[in-house]
Amino acid sequence: MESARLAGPEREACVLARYLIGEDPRPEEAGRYALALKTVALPLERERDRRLWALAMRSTTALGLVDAGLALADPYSPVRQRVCLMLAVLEASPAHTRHFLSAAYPRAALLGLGLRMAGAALRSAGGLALVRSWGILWR
Amino acid sequence: MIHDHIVVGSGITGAEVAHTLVAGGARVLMVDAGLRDTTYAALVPEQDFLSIRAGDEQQHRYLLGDRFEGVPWGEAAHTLTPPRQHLVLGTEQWLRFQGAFFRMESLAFGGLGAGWGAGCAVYTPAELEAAGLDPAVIGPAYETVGRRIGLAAEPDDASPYCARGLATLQPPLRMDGSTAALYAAYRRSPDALRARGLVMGRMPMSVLTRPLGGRGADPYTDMEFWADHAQAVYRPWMTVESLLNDERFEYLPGRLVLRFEEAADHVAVHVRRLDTHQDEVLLARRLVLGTGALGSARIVLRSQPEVPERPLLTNAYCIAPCLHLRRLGRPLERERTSLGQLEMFLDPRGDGLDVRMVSLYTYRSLLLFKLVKEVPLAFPDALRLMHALVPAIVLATINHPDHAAPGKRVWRVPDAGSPTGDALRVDYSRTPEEEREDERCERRILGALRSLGCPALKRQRMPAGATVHYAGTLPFATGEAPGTLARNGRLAGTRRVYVADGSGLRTLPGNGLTFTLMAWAHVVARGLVERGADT
Repeated sequence: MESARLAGPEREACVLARYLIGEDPRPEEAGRYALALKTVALPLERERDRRLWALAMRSTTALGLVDAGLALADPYSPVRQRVCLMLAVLEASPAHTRHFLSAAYPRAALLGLGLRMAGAALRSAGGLALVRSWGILWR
Repeated sequence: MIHDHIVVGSGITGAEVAHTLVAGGARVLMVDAGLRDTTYAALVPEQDFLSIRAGDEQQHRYLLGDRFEGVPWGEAAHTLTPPRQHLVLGTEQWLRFQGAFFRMESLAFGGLGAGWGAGCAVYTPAELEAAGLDPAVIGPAYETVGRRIGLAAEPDDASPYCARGLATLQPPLRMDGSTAALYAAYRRSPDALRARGLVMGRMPMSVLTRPLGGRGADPYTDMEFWADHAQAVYRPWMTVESLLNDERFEYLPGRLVLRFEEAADHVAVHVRRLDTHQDEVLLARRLVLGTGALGSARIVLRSQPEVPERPLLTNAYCIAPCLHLRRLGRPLERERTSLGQLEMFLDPRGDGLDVRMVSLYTYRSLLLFKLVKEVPLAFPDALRLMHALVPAIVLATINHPDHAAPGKRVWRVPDAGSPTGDALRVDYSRTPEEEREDERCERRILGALRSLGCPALKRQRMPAGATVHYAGTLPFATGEAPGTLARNGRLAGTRRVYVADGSGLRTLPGNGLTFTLMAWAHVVARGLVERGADT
């Protein structure tokens, strides 16, 4: 899917899928995400959430920081709920099972996982600073 | 028309009462809300989990739900998969509830038994005595019920805590590789854990490993939380379905029992139709409630205004995801079961009382995103982490016993928004002593798992009531104190009203209560058969 030509929830689905698994969603998955938003009714009622969501939709880097920060500061925020909905949609699709079903791996791969988690910790620290600074630095 | 017996509810106890009565030659009218799943049951293919995930384009419908009801959000609690969500259909409207307490009741055909984990624990004699049940009476009932529904188990170290006296057993379920490795680690030096008051083994499960009646053996498709095409796991609706073929049994669905009034030679049972909201009155020589400890309390509190607020028992529990280090990098096999495969029991004082039950699960078929959302990292990082760790995750659920205390109570309050005009209100808090003892026991249990190479990653206390084990609202007592039960299940202040669910238990052991409730329901019904229809 060409996210540049999309708008609204379908574009969000594209951004989120690339962020989560590095792949574009199939049209039916993007449509399912749009339906989920409508069905679960996830309004971003707080000004902070609306601003964070607008920032997150600009790039996957910004989305990563917002997501990581909220994971520590407000793990059940509606911003993260939208990300979780897309993750669930991707998981319940036969097109992306390799990202969700485990396969055998050598113990050495744990080293790579450890490095990634070190990066994740840095992202969390940066994200937390970003989320907490709302109202002080960039309101 | 006056019916011989009206049995209320088609769940685990109502079905058992009805079966025992009909088998004893009695005539039964079962009154039930009887709501069913009409959306998802037919969608789930008869395949194993991995095949479904790889090939079924419709999987999102039953994995997530058409209304995305399978995507829970917020603090973790007991959640149902979409094919099981009909279990709680209508309860918010008809069974109103207030208070900071996790409550799950059911108006479904077969009740909460349709979502039961299938564990069939036999209480120790000390636990039975403490709960107010006679071991000499309940013991044979366990065997009778177990033979009928089919139990998979074999004698092991855990048997004294969960399988004492059971003779008729099918071979146990096969463990998956992760659980088998953990059990093997225990078997290499069991004395080390025994010295700490802990044993490990398998609880009897109401799952067939050999065909029985019209039911098939477990196919190891890892789909137990979504569908059971073979009907390998016993569910109470199976009993009710089979009773429908007996001319002594009549089933009246779509009704909610509100209250009863006793007359000289009958009981008038006031019911409301769920579709038209019209009220009806049914008459019976004897009324048997099998509506669960909360449901029965609701009916009794409406029927006997003199009954004061009632006590309430529930198992506190916590979930500890543990990492089975030897299993890192080794995925779970295709053929496995999602059900609990291994149990630990902690007998803190060695007297068979206040035993803690620990169920050990490996995790796959409930989907990865539910674990990922609980990790305090950005979703892609959490996804990578859990993708790598999940085959080695062992979920330990620790169940604690419960005792009556002033801070654990339930009462009826007016509720103008309710179609019945009322609601149940619960106030529940464990005592500081109980919390300290729970903490001590959890540390001992998690220490033992660590010594087996399976350290806990975190420990999450679940909200009060989240085990969905409720009991003790009408406790056994001698005499006729309002809101209590006689040892044969008769409700104090009545001659013709019996309660066959967990309402009577004076204490609630940590072992799962379901099998004991079935045995108790059998005992109540057998007593009714033996005493005849007029008393």
